Amino acid sequence: MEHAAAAVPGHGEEDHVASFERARLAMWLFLASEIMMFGAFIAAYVVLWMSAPTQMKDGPETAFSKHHLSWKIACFNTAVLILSSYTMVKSVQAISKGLRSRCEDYMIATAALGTLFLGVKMYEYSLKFADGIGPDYNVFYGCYFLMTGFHGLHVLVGIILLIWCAFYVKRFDQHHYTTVENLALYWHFVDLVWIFLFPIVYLLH
Amino acid sequence: MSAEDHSKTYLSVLAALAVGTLVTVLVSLLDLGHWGNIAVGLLIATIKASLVVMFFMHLKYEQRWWASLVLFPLLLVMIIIGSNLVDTGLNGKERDGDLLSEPLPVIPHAGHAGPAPAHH
Repeated sequence: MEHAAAAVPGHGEEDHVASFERARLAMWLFLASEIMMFGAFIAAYVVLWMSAPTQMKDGPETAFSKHHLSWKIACFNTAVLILSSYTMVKSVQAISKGLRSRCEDYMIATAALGTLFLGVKMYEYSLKFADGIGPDYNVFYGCYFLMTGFHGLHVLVGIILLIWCAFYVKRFDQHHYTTVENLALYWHFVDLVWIFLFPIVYLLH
Repeated sequence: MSAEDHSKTYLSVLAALAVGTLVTVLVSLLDLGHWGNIAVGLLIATIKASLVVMFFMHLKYEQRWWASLVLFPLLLVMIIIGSNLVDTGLNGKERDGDLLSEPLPVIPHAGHAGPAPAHH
């Protein structure tokens, strides 16, 4: 029993640092599984694109489906998400210096930018639905809604976690901010996925 | 790790990501050939992603072997894509039609693939 008690993490500075490292490592492992999930979506898209190019069009005309997609809207959203990654990293930097209030401000800014991203995405989806274009329209839009939909879901989860973290910001200080650090890793990963989705879906056909 | 002040680094990365996005859009408007546009677009995306992973996600400051946690899944994804592309006829052949809409190839001497006929 004494050995078991000694093995409990969180006792002493060394254990605390080791615990912080273990938590980050666990988050990286989780992100590795996320890479495989989005990788499978992108793989399906690439293989379908290569094997059925005409089914990636929106009709018998020569125009590709991308003519229904606005790269300008997507570019704006890319800028929003990149900026949100910056505010997120600044939030971690602030809490690592013990600046709780600044950390909270940057977290709320990140959540606001994430909400703006989702709002623009919803507007984009509404344009498609108004044109009668849904996931069952053709192969391209099946892939489009699958990839951007799952990505949007990740953004939504990130926003909820950011608001939760901002609400409980008093729990964190310069020595205890594992949750903020891991949330930042998750948020940057969401940004990473979009960095690839933007050219693949909107620009490269 | 985070005790150092990385403010300038973060700003530089933000600027690089913004420029990278702009270049991605500009390059897509140029005609570099079908594969040329795809290669350049993906190259810029990979550079941008590397900047986020190394500096925003602090992988640069972690133990070096942690990079394998990112690289190994990426390798697996490449294997998934690559092994499937072999099946789409990309192995040296140019195709105009759809593989999905083409009839299945007949394999000679493969025998009858359907259910065995009932014996009376």
